[in-house]
Parts: sequence; structure tokens; C-alpha cells
Amino acid sequence: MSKVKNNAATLLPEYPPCQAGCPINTDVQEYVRQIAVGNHTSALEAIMKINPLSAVCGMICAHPCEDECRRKDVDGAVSIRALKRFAVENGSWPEVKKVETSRPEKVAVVGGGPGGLMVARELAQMGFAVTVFERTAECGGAVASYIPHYRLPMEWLRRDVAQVAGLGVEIKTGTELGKDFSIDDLAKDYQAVVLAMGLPVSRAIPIPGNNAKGVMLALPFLHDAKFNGFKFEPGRRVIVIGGGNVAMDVARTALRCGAKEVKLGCLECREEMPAFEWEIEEAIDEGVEMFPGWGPKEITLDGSGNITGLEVQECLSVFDEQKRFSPKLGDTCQLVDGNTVIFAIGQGNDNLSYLKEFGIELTERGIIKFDARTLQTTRPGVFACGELVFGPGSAVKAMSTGRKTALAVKAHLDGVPFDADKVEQFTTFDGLSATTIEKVKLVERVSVPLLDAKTRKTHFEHAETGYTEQMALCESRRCMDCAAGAECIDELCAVCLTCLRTCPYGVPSIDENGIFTIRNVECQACGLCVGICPASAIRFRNYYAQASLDRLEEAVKSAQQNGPAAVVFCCSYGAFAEQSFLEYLNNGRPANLAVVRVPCVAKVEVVNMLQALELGAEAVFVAGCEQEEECSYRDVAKWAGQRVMRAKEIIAELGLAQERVEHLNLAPDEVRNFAQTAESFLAKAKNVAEIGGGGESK
Amino acid sequence: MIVGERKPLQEILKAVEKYEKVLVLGCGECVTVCMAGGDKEARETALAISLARKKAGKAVEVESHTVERQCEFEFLESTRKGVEAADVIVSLACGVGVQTMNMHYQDKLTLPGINTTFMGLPVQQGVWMENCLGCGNCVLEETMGICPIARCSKSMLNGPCGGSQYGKCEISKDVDCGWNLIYERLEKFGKLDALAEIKPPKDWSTTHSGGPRKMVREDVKL
Repeated sequence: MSKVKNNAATLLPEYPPCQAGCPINTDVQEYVRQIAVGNHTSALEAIMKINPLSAVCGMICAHPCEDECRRKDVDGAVSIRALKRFAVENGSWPEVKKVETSRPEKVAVVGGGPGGLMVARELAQMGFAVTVFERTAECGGAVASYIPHYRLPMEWLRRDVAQVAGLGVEIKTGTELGKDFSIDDLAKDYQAVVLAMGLPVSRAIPIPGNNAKGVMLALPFLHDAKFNGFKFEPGRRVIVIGGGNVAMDVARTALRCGAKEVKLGCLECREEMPAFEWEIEEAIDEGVEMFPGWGPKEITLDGSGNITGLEVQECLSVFDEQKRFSPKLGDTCQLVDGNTVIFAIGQGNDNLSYLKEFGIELTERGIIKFDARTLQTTRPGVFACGELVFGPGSAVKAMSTGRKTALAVKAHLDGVPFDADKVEQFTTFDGLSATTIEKVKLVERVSVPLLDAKTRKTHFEHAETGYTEQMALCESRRCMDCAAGAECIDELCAVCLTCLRTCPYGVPSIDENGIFTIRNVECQACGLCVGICPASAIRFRNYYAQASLDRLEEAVKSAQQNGPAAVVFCCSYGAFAEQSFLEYLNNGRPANLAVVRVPCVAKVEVVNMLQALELGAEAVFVAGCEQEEECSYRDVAKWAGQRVMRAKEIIAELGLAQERVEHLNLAPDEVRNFAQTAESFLAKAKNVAEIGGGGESK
Repeated sequence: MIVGERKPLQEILKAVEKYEKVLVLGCGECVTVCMAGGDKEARETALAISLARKKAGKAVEVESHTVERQCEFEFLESTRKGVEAADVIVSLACGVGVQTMNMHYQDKLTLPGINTTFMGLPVQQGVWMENCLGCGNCVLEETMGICPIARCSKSMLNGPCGGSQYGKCEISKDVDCGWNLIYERLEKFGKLDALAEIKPPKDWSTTHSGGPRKMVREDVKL
């Protein structure tokens, strides 16, 4: 019987829940980790590698990743979206390099929204020549046309689009399918066509009064407000119908357009409102008055046809037992005062009947007939993606359909079969166990700073101000690096149980059958077990911890060329991740000071310290952080201290001065003033070197 | 398990003084578990030797390697290349492992890098305690599961002696009196009358006193 459970890998990639929850599977852990160590450009690279609308997502993504973040069961999900924005604003944007066209086929993408841009980027990167045909003046789809400036300043969208264009994607704006060109026109020049026109038409409800002057539709209103400087006449009292995210945009935009008051009603009760909770709260803070749980019955008019209000009827329930939309209305009615009504109850597609003559069939409801496995319409070589065929959803969801469609197009042009259900498969894992949740150190989520509600509702400036460096460094450290940490190398493990006794989180355990296992998915990646394992049988699943220590030899050799060298193993987080410190390391550091940044000094082993001395360093310092209560990990100073003590014992036995290895807990200000701290390190190294032969034992 | 502790580094350094290529060989079993001679200790010891020799200006090539279990000839094959490249081997296994190495690689000298101390258990993380002497004739059934041979400083069969004070042995206040422990456990089980029975002198011929011991199982021999 094997005493160690064999955690055999599956053939499918395993993503942490955040990455699995992201429709385009962005490597969330990687970019959050890079922010935590101050590498904001690397963070941005990790985001951009996957996402053609990185900045847009940094500002407005619906962040389903956060819904899956396992920290939500501890003390609130990591604020991933806000961290993405931080990377977007603080990383250096790469120069875009044009991708050489390596394929003879050309692809036309109709619609430059998130789905279309994703298709275009993916295909361009595969070597296809791609042209995007955009109806409006600029790409971005609903993001460009309707998302208000206060949520997304246009410059960020434009930067994203420029990245796609920079790859060599040709973008033709102001040209519309069905008016300026037909499918057959495209078919002459392009070997594949992708339809990604989205759902650009606002719907209304057929209730009495809905044609009155003063009744508006959400999308035209948002567009007018965004691009044409629309302002209400004085005294407009606006009633918004709808409880989704667009309704929130409409209500908040109405305030900014000078409405005297804004009320918002919807069928759903407050808890069932489909808009994101934070959108609802921000709207309420700005003064939008909500009356959820009422259905519109009639827009009431006076004798001159002016709106006097909206009669609403109590809504008892919205969904039937099968969770289908089937509102049940009660008898109670009331009149909501107002003189303007805006419908924000959902979007539909344009009239697409012009497609029928080109072999693209529509359903009875006027939607494109579509094979969800081949992602093709009824006309071979014509594909569709995004909201147009998958229905309303977030930008990132549309992008995910775009990415699959790009694969489908490639398969079609390669002449190979394609099944959308069989691509991009992966596994993930469940939430943390209750016993681990109890042990994780609590660190409060850093709330995303917003302009004061009274101020922000008066203008269209970006409402959210974004994290400061300090905030981003704190928030990114809340990531628990799910399953990136300790992994048992079964063939080396002696089952000594040292890790089981050392781990502060109870991750190594013995199950009811007496089988020992390191439950990797519960690991918090502190690394204490790696350092103490006597069999070298624990490694990190992710490269980053080992990669940092692998730098030691090169760092020491380089430092030695410039005089007696001192090595500092220092933490990579907190003050050690601030740009000023990194600037010092890169440009201001004395050349004979080797600095090895490790993801927590708990990961520095006695072997590493001895190795530094053996390589020729005169002095070795393990520099952690004094503020242990702010560290995400437990027991770091204790273990770092004990390892240094062990190293001292060993070198003392060899007749070397014990002072050649020291453990320090630096206060943040000592880190910020590292030049001075470093002087003392180097003075010690010089002293040791002068004593000769590496310093005699006293 | 077998517990050991690394020899003083100066002793190891003196032993390898004349050699220029040293292999430090760890063992993946007991000495790994008691943190005396596993892979990590082997790497530490190798680095320590190298560091000391550099300091002395007498360079040395030191490699380290760890085998699954040094007291099995078959496992030792995995380190043959390292053994052949080395002038001398420092084994961090127990004395059994060191001897197995010397038996298997008769042309190379394997030196002990640890002192094999006792058979025992980790009573807490970082603290190991002796509790079996391997006497070859177990009496635990008579002493409530507490060994009077290993845990009484005098290995008495009829204890405690007059040196038992407040539950501690007269040799040190840090050492529990084994017989006091036996007494407490007998009392807990209501079996104190067992103490009235005088045990005859132990037959020590089953211990090492009877010469090197050997065990044969005919049914599993090849």
C-alpha cells in the first residue's frame, strides 16, 4: 500500500477558480502576483496576452473571476478587476508589432465590438489577413457607443483598439452590412466571414402612452448623452424602466444630463434585480430613487399629451417555478410622478431579413440560425459570434465566443472538422474547506475608491479613481495563490510528517484511511513546508518561488566583481514591491550588493544561505518585514529566524564568524531608506573580508 | 525509527582532509525523518565541507546525493556514478547504511557523517526520544506498554529504584523515571498488584550480549 496519495494530473489543464471563471481564462493569479511584487508591466503583459480589451476590462469588466475567488468565503473576494485597472494604468504598454501574414486566406469580421475584435486579433495572430467592418465611427461596439464616460473614458478603449489594429488588422469604420455592402460582396474577397453585429436595438413595452413625447429608449439616449452633449430641459423628472446594468447607466447618465430627479422601477424585487450590486448601490448613492417590484402599466398623459407619470402595478413574482420569465402581477397600483420615461428593458438585434437572400436563414424570431458546435450560420464559411447569436451578456463573454469562433474559422479554412464543445476544456477545483477557511489570516479587502457621490453625479469624469500603489500592493497580496503552492514529490517523500506539523493551515493531512497527502488546493503558498522538508520532497507547482532563488549564483558572481559582496535575501512584497525600492535595486544599488527578492523570506532555506557564502559572499542577510501583522502569511519571522540560527550554528562549527549570517526584520521606512540599510550590510561584508579568510570565529 | 545526529563538522572535515573529491550520501528513510541525514542535510553538509575547504585554501569537489534506503544493496546502484567519481564517501545514513555502502562498494571507503544514537520517536516536532533498545525479548506486555529496558536508566525489571524522585530519574531532572511511568499506568488500570510479582533476572543472551544477531526466514529465501 502506498502511504502517500498520488495526486495524478489529468490530461486537461487545471485552472484556479478565478481563471476558470473568467470567460477568456485570463491568468489572474499571474497578473495579481506580478502586481504584488511590483512588476506592473509583467502584470499587464499577462493580461494583454489573452485580452484585446485589457483597459476596457480593467475599467468595466463584470469580473466573474471575483465571483469564483475562493477568498470570498474568507473575508471577501480579491478585487481583481480593480487590480487589472491598476496594471493597465501603471504598466508600460508594449509597442505593438505587426504580425506577418502567413496565410493566403482573408477573413472579414462584421462588427467591431468585443466579440469581433477578439476574432480579429486571434485570427491576425494566426497569420490571417483580417478586416473589421464597423458600422459606427469607431470600434468597441456597445462599449464604445453606450458605456458612459464616467465608467470608461474613451481614451482607454482607443488604446485597446489601437493594439488590435497594430497587429495588422484592417479596420474600416462607418460602413454597414446590408447598406454599404452585402454578404456576397464580402464573399468575393474573403474566404470566411464572421458576423458580430451585437444587439444594437433598444426595446420598449407596448403599454398605453409609450409613443408620447418624452418617452425615450435606453441606447439612443446613452448615445446622445455620450457623443452629442445631450442635456435635459430644466425640470425633467425621469422615470427609468428596467433593473439591469443598462438601466443603471441610463439612470446615472440622466442625473448627469441635468434631470431634476431620477426614479427607477423594475419588476424584480431589490434582491432579484439583474444589475450588479455595486452598480445599484452607486446609483442609489448618487440619488436615484428605486422602486423595485413594480411593473409598468401605463404612461399617463395630460390633455395636451404631456407625460404626467407612470402607473405601475405590484409585481408578485417575476419567474415561474422553472425559473422562466413569467411575471405575476397583483391588484395594487400606484402612480409614479414624472414627465420623462426611458425604457431600459433590454436589447434586440437589427432587422436581419436582408441576410436571407444570401443563404443565411433566420429563426421565426428573426435571429440568425446558428450551429452552436461549428459556430457557422446556414451559409458555409459565414460564422457568427457574440451577443448576436449568444444573447445579451458582458463584454468578456462576447470575447470568449469570439475566441472560439476564431478557432472555428481556422479549422474551416484548414478543412478540418470543428466542435466548439471540444475546445478550451479545462478542470478546476472547489472552494476552500471549512477547516482551512478558519485558519487563513484575515486581511480586509481594499475597497475601490470612488469620487464622492455628490461630486461625481454632476459630471461625466471617471467616477472611480483607481487604486494607489499602496492599495494595489495590499490588495494583490490577498490572493491566496490557490493550488500554486506546495506539491509533494511522492517518490522523494519520506512521510516524516514534518510539513504536517509545520503548516499553519493544516494543508498536509492524513485521511481516514491513514493516507498522507498534501492537499495542494488548500495551500496558501507560504512555503514554510518547502524550507523545512528534510527530503527536499516538496516543490511549488508554480515556477515563481524557485525562479527567485535560482538567481542567487548569478547575483553573487556579479556582485563579487565589485568588491567584497553581501547578499540580501529579501521579501518581494509590501514596501519591497514599491517602485522607489525597485528603482533603487535596478539603478541605485551598490554594485557589490547582491539582492535576491523572494516571495516571502519563509522560503529561504539554510542551504541557500550556505550556498551564498560558498559562492564567495562575505555576508548574508535575510531581510523580512517588521510588520508581521500585515503579512498574509503566518509565522514567517519565527521560521526565518530559526533558519538563520541554524546557519549560524553550522558556520560557527566551521570556524567562521556567526555574524556573517543575519536575520533582520525591517520596518517599511527602513526598506524605503534601503540605501542606508545597505551601507551597514556592506560595511559588515568589508569588515569580514578585512579580517581575512572569511573572518575568524570570536 | 533509527535516530541519529550529524557528527561535529570539524570531525567530518578532519576525516575527509586528505581527499579532493567527496560524495556526501544521504538516506531517504529514518535519518531523513529525524532530520539528520536526508537530502537537505546532505546538501547542507556538502556546502559546509566546500565552504570550510575554500576558507582553508584547499579546494575540494563535493557532490551530494540521496538514495532511497542505504541499507539495501539494490538502492545503492543508483549512486554508482557518484561513488566512482569520488575519492571518499561521507554517509549520512545510520551505521547500518555506512556498512552496507562499504560492503557494496568495497574499493571505496565510506565514512560515517552522523552518529547513530538510538531507536525512538519524535515526541514533538524537533524532539526525539529513545524508547527501544532492541533487546530481542520484549517485555512490554508486562509493563503496561512502557519499556523498562530503554526507559529505566538501569534497565531494571523490578523498579523503581531509590533514585526515583518526583517522577524523575536521578540521572537528570529532564529524564522521566521509566518505572514511575509504569507505576502510574498500572494504577490507572487498577493493576498495581502486578508489582508484587518479582521478575527473574533477564536473559540478556538475546541482546547484543549474545554476540552479533542474525535472523533467517527460510520461507522467503531465494
